[in-house]
Amino acid sequence: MSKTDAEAEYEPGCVRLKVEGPLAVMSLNSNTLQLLSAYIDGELTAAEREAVERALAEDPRVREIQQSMRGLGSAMRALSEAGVARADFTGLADRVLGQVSRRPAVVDRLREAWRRPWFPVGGLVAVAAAAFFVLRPAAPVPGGEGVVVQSATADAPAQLQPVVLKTDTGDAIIWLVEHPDASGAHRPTTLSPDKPGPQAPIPAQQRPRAGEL
Amino acid sequence: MTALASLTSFGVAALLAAAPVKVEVQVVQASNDAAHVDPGLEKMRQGFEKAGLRFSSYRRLSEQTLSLSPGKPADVAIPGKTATLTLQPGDHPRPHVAVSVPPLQTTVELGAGASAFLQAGPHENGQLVLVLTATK
Repeated sequence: MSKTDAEAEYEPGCVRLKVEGPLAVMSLNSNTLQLLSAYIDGELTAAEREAVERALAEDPRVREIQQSMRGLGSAMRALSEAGVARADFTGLADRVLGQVSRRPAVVDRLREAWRRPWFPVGGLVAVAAAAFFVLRPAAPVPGGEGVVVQSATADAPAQLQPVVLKTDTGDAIIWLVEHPDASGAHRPTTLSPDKPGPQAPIPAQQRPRAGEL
Repeated sequence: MTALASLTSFGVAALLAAAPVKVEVQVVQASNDAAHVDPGLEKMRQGFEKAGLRFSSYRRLSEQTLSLSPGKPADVAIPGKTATLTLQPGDHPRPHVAVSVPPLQTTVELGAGASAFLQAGPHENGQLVLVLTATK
């Protein structure tokens, strides 16, 4: 509801804004105080101003409130003016500019820090550490734990060749085998003359192949 | 500035790559003498048995921890011969160790906690096994 749409009227103890339809009754409450405040500040429409003036003329309570509000406003203005009068702004601009000029620019501060002996060394160490962790080789792939045999050869007769036997715990056994064949049908053996006891055939999934070295 | 940082980073990487690696080296005699397994060798026995290598006796003849530096060979005394271990240079995530235990020449990549068992030749009534384990 805009104030221009409203038709204000006064009744003792309250200010009513008459609108189309039911009346909007405003008692001596915060709304009335707002109307009084707006009246003091000259912000009311003609109808509202007329209603407030009628209330002021007819109701001493409204007058009393209005006088209090005016007095409070005067006191606030007096305090503000007194404070401003006491403030000394002489040389304020110089003082502000002096503070600004004493704070060097970021580039200047970095340049100054670079001259300190610890900064280049510490900075380089930090950069080097970061570069190392970024550039270092990737971690081993999962499942890459255990021993990996890169190569295995034997300076032995041709029929004796090394084979790699992997255990389920990731260990690797490198053993010399006689006559290994590609089918994996060989059995681990030992160098003569000592041989281990009876050996069970190796399960197919564990049989090493000579070509897997 | 960038060049200096790069040089420093490569220097740090090189220092880390050149860091020594500790490898536990055991010499074990596996034989078919009276059944016996030294403490700590039961896992080895089980692994050998699953691989088809059945011995009844596993005796530890020696045990030492070597600090291997890249490219510097380290010798390990084995009955009747000498094994030579050399940490391979290079920025490897896991140590690569070249082992020469005649007639076997091999290079193994050691994962932490896992062992490489290398046949090292006959000895008395059994076989010598060189056991390499990278320590953490």
